[in-house]
Amino acid sequence: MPPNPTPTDEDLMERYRDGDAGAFDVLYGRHKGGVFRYLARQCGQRATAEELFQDVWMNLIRARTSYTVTAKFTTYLYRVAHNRLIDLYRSQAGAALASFDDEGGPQLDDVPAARVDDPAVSADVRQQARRLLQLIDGLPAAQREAFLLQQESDMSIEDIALATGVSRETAKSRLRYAVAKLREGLQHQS
Amino acid sequence: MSETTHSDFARDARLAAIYRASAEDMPPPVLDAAILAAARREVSSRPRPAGVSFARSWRGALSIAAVVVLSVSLVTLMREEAPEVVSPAGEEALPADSKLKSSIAENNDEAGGEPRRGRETETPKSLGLKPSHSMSSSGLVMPQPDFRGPRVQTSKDASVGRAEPAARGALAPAKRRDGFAADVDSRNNRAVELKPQRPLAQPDAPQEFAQAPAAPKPVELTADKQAPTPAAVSGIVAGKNAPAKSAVADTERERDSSQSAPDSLQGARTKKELGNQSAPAVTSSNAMPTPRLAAPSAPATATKLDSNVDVTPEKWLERIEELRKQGRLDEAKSSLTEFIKRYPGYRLPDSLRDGIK
Repeated sequence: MPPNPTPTDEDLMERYRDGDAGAFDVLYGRHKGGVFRYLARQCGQRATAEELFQDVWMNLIRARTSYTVTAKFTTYLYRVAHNRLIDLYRSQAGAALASFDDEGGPQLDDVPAARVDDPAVSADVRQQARRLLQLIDGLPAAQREAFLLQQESDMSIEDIALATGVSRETAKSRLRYAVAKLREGLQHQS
Repeated sequence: MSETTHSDFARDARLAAIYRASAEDMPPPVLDAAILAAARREVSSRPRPAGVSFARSWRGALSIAAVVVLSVSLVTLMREEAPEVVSPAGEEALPADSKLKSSIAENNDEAGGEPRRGRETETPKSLGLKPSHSMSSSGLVMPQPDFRGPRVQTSKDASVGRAEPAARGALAPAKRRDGFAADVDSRNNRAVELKPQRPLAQPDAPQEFAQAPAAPKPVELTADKQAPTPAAVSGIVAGKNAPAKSAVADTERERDSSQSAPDSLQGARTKKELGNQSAPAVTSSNAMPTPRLAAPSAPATATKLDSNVDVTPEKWLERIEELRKQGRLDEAKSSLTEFIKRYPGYRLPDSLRDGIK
């Protein structure tokens, strides 16, 4: 059986844990875009997203020696990012946390909207994509998070539940609500 | 609605395609460089979690090594605390036991008339004061200074030291004369006593007595097969030089001794009858009729008990049993009493317990 030419994320992280700096380069290249977009669209500010982005990866670097494969690497990575976002929300205001803490209650619609006019974000966005981003930005934070995790890291519902620290049913419900709203928004536009 | 339907609903392909078209945001290159540099610094500063990888890679080997070390330690500990259990026939662990076996083998060899000059010359000082019958199993005991009885031979008489080698030679035939039964019989009683003083006798032995085993005369053996030693010992004590004898003569004497094994028992009884004679008298008086007039039971008993201390409890009990079977109940009782003191929790055989009682 020929060896797998594409090492898994977990293999790369273990190699980095054991001292292979090149493995981290590969791992970073795979996930830097997804993590960055997840953070940028969750927090709505690019500068803040960059700061959070650096914190997430630095936390990963510092914790490399204690890394053990207990779940998918992406779940581990986005769990770190999720925790950094929670810290950010707590430092800004407590309002945004309501959408994370409230399972079935009223969903927040006042999450800071993404800055679509940001040159780094809107330069290459098409019309439909721009609309989609607007719709994503308009989602409650918890639903947006579930949708972004699914799109950026190709997570399953179980992985989303693990990364966000909620039950599987809650994660599934959030995702369903998010997709339904986005579809409805896109259809309404067309 | 099935789970698949839920998943299909959640994964909208059209939404995904549109999202991918917009997902071009990337972190700035400066941030990438900073993070990658930090990752390399981390690896270079702490190259490898040595503890974890070492434990993982050597876990099996360390486990095996630990088991081996533990086993060796356990065996060593057991050997130190209970040598008879680990190596019952070990020379180092049980010198007394091995000596017993060698003594038995020697007695068996004696039946074939094989001479043993080496052992004769090792007979200790006190040999001259002991009945010849007791010499048969002299190899059973280790030296125990605490229980060593008063030395019968005093150093003030230089002739005593000289007499020893000759006495050794004179008494050795009688020792070999004993059969195995007599050997076992007298194991605790007399012959055992000879061993402790061997180191004392050897330095004193002059060169001219190196051939002391040849001292006894064949005539003496003829006159009294039980005691070839009297004339020799008394002659030596009187300052006479023991005539040197050839190895052939010695061999003949040994044969005579081995043939007269039953007489050794009588010799033992004679010892008891004459046991009131004191040791100094033996060593200093020419009128002493026989060196069998040994310092009797006090030192002998002490050394006998001492000899039992060094053997295994099983061997000790065997000796007591032998004494009991031979009707020497007093000795058996005393030995058993000493045994119980030494091994309070040891379970005694029913036969021995009932027999002594």
